[in-house]
Amino acid sequence: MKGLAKDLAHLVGPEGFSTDPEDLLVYRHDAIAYFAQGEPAAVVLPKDTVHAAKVMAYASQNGIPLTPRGAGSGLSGGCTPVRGGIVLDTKRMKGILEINRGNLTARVEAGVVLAAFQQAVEAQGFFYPPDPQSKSVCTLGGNVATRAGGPRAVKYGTTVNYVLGLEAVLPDGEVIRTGSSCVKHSAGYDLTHLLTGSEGTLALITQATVRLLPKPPATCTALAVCPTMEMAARIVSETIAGGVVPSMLELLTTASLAVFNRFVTPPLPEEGEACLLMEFDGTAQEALRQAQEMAGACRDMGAIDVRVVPQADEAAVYWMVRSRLYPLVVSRFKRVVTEDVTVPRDRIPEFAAKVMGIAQEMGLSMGLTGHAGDGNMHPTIRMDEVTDALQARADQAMARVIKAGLALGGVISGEHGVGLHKAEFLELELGREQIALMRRIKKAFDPKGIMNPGKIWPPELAS
Amino acid sequence: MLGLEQYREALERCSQCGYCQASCPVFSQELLESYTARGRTLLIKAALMDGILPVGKRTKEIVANCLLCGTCAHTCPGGLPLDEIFMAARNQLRPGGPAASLKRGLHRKLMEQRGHPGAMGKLGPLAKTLGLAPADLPQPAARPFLADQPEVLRPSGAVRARVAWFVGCAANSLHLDTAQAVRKVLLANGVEVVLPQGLACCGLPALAQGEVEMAQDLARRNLAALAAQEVDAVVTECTSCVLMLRDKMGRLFEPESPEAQAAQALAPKVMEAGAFLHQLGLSQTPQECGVSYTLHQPCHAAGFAAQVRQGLSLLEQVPGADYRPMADPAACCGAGGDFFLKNPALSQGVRRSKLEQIEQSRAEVVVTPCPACRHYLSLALGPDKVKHPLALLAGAYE
Ligand SMILES: Cc1cc2nc3c(=O)[nH]c(=O)nc-3n(C[C@H](O)[C@H](O)[C@H](O)COP(=O)(O)OP(=O)(O)OC[C@H]3O[C@@H](n4cnc5c(N)ncnc54)[C@H](O)[C@@H]3O)c2cc1C
Ligand code: SF4
Ligand code: SF4
Repeated sequence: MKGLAKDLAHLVGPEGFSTDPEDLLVYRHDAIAYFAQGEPAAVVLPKDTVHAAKVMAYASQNGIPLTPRGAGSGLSGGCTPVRGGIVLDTKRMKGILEINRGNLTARVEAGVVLAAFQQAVEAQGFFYPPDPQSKSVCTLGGNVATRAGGPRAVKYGTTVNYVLGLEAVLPDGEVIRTGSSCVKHSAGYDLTHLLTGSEGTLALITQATVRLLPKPPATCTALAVCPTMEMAARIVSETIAGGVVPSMLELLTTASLAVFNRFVTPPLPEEGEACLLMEFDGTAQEALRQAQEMAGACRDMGAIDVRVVPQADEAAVYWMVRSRLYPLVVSRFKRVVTEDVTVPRDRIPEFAAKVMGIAQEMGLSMGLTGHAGDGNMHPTIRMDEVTDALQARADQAMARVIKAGLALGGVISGEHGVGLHKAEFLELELGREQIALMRRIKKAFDPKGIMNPGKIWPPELAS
Repeated sequence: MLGLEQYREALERCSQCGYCQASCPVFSQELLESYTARGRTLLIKAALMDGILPVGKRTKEIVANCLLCGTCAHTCPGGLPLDEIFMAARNQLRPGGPAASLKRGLHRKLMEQRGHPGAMGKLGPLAKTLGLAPADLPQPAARPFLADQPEVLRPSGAVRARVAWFVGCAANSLHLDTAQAVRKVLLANGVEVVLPQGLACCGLPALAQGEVEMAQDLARRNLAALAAQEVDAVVTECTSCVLMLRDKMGRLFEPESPEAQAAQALAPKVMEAGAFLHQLGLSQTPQECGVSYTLHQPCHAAGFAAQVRQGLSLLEQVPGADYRPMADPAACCGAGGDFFLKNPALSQGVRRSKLEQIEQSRAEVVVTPCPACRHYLSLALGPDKVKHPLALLAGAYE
């Protein structure tokens, strides 16, 4: 790609890109290093939609692959530039353009960091619920592109439930504005929600208009240590059946108790197989009452230890620890393979039993954590060493886990997206006809196939 | 910090989560991922350890463009010793040649003399002309604080505690008002203060240049001088000295070596002077002092933030003094030791948001225990607007 640096300097100025291999190293993969496959030729950091559109038109004319990237915190290899080309890093487009009090909406640029956005709306008494645990770094654009969600999905849904409109740049550089800032909108195909979750394969999202809620006045956190995984799973499905809707409901392994104990007093008993971390919201009284009722129910069902944490600053420590558990586990093992299969919530106990059974049969160390309240589970295989044989066994086990989830009416990905990681399973969930239709849609958006090539499609179709 | 190879295992533990993006002051300015700890460690491994990339100008630039504030290490869920890895990288990239070794020699002398150029002071202008020292380096006092102090400072009343005081280079040579204030408040509260002979710079500035051997030499001197003391605590007014003496000194040596063991024995005794006084309790009641203040918490205090808070709580006992917290006291000010001298634009960018916070706090004075933060903030705010917290307490003892 001779002359690329010169062309890019002309398009976005010398500060707007890099072709130095030293800078490009980190752009080879997302939060999973073993997805690194291709070498990007450049990273471009557009400062606005105009810059982005110029670069995309140039790439389209020259047939250069484009890979959109937010914070690179993805867990599916989505922003990995497998075919080289240009990585489009949106982090310099980080403006919060509007917080509309009267309409309860906000308009942001794609590169705004989720936590910064949440802080800004909360300072005005509003609430933007979607909460992938990577919120301190992940971008709104990345959230929209993957339909990200987190613990609050149980009550508030995920990013997809909040996106009202988008500004996006098509691969040829044309800018479109989809949806609106209206709460209701029924004209034309819903391109907003087609782009939402498109993982950078259709267009570059440059702005999003999202819905806000009033901020709940209070929250109350509770934690229950359960003797068995099965009991924890049962508590989750019975809670949901009982009509109690926590604002967050997380299922964690016992190993996480030791991590909590580094930060909280009094220490939790490091016993049993699982624990449930939950939050209730509403008025202070309502939140506390629900937490106490839930605590009582957990005790009745045989939980080893239950605690209610009404103090907001103390509760924040539990949720801070929660958001750090996954990287912490990864840092303790040579390799960690994690899935995000999601099942209907009444099937969680069956799914948990299946996963544990598969782990045992295949002699693998597997943990099961997840946003249990919404059925989104993260079976996680932890490897002390990486050998081809072990990796093959892990792949086999995960394939079985995914099929078990699908058999229970589940989906292959609840929140991380397909990327590279789940491509081989997409057809199992969607079937040939849907994939063929989706590929025709892809062709309509991206006839030259330059947008995030090599992703989401089953490997034999990806080329 | 002996060498990069020592950190191979730690580097392999990086989960690649990218959480370190959340807090790096340099990244927050540039928004280029090669400046995050994730990017830096990938580069260090590829270029300086595995030889996958040749070591070029850009590698050196990225390694140099780091405040060594340690914030990333505290953000990292895996607890990777990132700041140490960056110091070890600098060690490997140390420049050679006669100019570098001349500069190294001058630095060593300065550090052995605890920041005071002494007779070398005459060389100062020459060094600046030769480009060996930055032109806007702060001017040292004519006479260092320690030149006029006895070996033991005795309170006039009953002795409540006995401490060894590690006077930092800055308090000794630049900010003598800080040193005088610390002496005053310790003595006023019945603390007998030993000023041990034979101490040198704590060694952190040397480490920041990648001068591991120099830091080791300084540490050996300091360990020898402090180990002999029979005291309740080793106190210092400087955050970076606490960090070095408490957390980093032992890591300069092979584990189990006599030096590492001596450092380990010393570490629990090391405290920020304000935290020590807080724990002892004030015996002299401060007088009324109508001043509003806000705290800037130095990055180097991230591992012992509670000590800074304890120092601050002394000021709550000053009648009339009004604490006006800023939005994020722990956000970096951009100084990074002498980083701001080499990378003015980056540092000013970081400082800008700190100055906004200070402005919004509407406090008259900023208190901070770190001399580098103080210097750099006062370049923007004026010399009287930034003080050591104990200087404010000393003001209430007039
Ligand atoms: C420790 C950890 C915890 C996590 N927890 C959760 C969780 O609880 N819930 C959850 O849903 N996810 C979670 N994730 C995954 C990840 O953070 C989310 O997928 C997040 O939405 C990715 O955002 P990003 O900005 O990092 O996007 P990236 O990783 O940079 O990109 C993700 C995908 O989106 C595309 N993309 C990014 N920006 C744009 C854009 N502007 N236009 C078009 N396409 C774009 C990329 O091409 C890629 O396909 C976690 C990750 C980590 C490391
Ligand atoms: S936060 Fe730590 S583990 Fe995560 S990418 Fe940064 S250095 Fe690696
Ligand atoms: S030490 Fe500070 S400046 Fe350097 S990478 Fe870490 S956070 Fe950034």
